[in-house]
Amino acid sequence: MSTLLSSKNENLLNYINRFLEETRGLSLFEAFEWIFKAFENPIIISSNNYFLAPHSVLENPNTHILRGNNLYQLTELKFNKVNNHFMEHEMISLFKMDDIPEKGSNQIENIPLTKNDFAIFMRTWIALECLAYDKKLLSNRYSGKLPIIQYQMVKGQFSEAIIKIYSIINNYINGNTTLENKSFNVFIHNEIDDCMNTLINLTGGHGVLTETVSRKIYLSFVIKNLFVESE
Amino acid sequence: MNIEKINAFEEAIKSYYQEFRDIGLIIDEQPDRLHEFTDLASVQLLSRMMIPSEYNDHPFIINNTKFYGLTCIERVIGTEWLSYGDAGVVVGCPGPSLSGIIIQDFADEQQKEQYYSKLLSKPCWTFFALTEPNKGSDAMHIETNMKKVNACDGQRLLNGEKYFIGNGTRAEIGVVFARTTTGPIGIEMCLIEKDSDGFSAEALDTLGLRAPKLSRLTFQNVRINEEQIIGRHLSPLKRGMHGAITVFNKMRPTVAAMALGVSQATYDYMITNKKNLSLDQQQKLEHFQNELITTRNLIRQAALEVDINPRNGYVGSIAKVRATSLVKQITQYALDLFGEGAFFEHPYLNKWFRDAFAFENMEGTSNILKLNIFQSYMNGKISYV
Ligand SMILES: Cc1cc2nc3c(=O)[nH]c(=O)nc-3n(C[C@H](O)[C@H](O)[C@H](O)COP(=O)(O)OP(=O)(O)OC[C@H]3O[C@@H](n4cnc5c(N)ncnc54)[C@H](O)[C@@H]3O)c2cc1C
Repeated sequence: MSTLLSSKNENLLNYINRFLEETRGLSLFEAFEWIFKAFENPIIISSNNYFLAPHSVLENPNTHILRGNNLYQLTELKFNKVNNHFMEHEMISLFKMDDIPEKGSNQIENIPLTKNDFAIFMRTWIALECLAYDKKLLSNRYSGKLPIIQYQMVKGQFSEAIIKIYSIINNYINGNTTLENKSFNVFIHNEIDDCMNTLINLTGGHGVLTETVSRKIYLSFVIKNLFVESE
Repeated sequence: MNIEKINAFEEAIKSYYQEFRDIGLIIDEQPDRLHEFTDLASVQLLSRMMIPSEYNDHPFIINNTKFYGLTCIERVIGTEWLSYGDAGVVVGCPGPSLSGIIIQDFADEQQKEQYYSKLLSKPCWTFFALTEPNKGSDAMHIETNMKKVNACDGQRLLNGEKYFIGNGTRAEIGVVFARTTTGPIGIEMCLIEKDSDGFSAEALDTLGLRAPKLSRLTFQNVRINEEQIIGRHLSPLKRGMHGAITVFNKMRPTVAAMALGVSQATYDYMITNKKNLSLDQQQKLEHFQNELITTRNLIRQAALEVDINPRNGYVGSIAKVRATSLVKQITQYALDLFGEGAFFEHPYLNKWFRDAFAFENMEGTSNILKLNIFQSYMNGKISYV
């Protein structure tokens, strides 16, 4: 994808392009691992009080937690696992941190990936995964003689979802408004919510089964709740 | 039923929601534990709703009026308040539910006796099995079949699979839709007990509305006698798929009422627990309050219309499309309002968020209902427009 007005660094743009391409069809924890392992040492990006971690990354003693621009070693932090059946099934655990020291052992000047970037990466990826799931599901389900995906109303809804996803990625990659602008960041995530709601409706009853996309959908909203500061 | 009686019914039923609220989270985590709570007054009340007076010695009595839950207006009011407690428990409760409408409207005396006597003997779950793994909205083309064993007697063999069936693993008895021949009138309904040879049920894991344990039912050469076919005494046009359409028209306002109950619960939770609202937040809550009023007005109107004529389905469609959209918006907004960690620090908000997705698919998806609304408009059926 060519960039027009980019004020972001090229590395980050290449990074999201690579992420969206290389993680297509992977499971949730593999997508997480991809992000966290892309740093020299695995780094888990936390929200103010919580972090989500694939089991494998936590097992690595070199793993760090990035909170704002503070980098903590795991041993520097106190954290408790939050009971969560749906994410555990995806091999991802959620932790709540306590008594967080104000400063980590390292501070990073130029944060390679902020929590806002992380939230957009993951939620866009989940939306694309759901879109692909719906495309496959509704191409193979029939209403009368036509695949459901061929009904005008359904095509319209797919387009609505595509319009939102395209706008989100375009804003991120080509836009010159930063995600650090809170209202803009919230706006983008509300657009992702709309897109997710359209895609969930399209899955029909299959969308409520945990074995399909519903855990990904759940996690998309969890990420918003943890990482996006509401206005 | 006059307005005073309906108001008295509503006042009385309100007091039952708390028991459902108290057990909602427990059942959400462990749906099998619902069996432990069948003695609760609220569960008993709901499980006797929709059992007609001939079979029901314990109706809900208020000021000497007996309520059997046989009208849609009773059902929407009762369901809204009990879902305000917990919608999962409402759908997971023992009792007639969807199949009850089929039995009441289409079954013969012997079938009614068989069905209701089971329901009265102990807490008894029922099922209504129409949807299949490959056929949901397009129910006219279901594939489960019920073929004659030989031409001379009435014996048939039922084969096929049903999917997303509420309470399928714990039900004692239920109604199955199956094809006896091609075309829309080639679909029949039959009454089946769980211990029939060749019948099995397996639970499906769901994100929300976990109490009813949606399930996959499998029928492998299940023998069906002529006496099990529901509506034999009626013309083919007045049974079979006509039964499904009647159920959906009569129960759609009730599903909308479930979504409304959850929406109201979420709204009240926000008002009670969130202090120091900003101006924007206050405005948003006012907007939701107006949405709640609008949706409730529609649901109650839909119920009254359906009670006059079950073919008046379009108001129920309008009400359900609004209610399912509202419940998603409000439950998602509540998580935003409480901010970081609300998913885990407010377990009810987490549950309501998950439950909200399920209503969309019960008794018709929004797309199908919108098509129905459009068709009603084109046929000149919609009042005011
Ligand atoms: C909580 C819950 C409880 C349920 N309980 C029962 C039960 O007890 N008994 C039972 O029989 N079933 C039950 N169901 C199943 C339910 O009836 C179906 O999920 C529903 O009919 C939708 O069918 P589907 O899931 O196959 O989706 P599909 O029909 O495959 O639809 C998928 C998507 O395509 C859209 N679509 C399909 N056809 C068209 C069209 N022609 N034009 C435009 N859009 C279209 C739909 O709106 C939807 O968005 C339950 C489902 C849920 C979630």
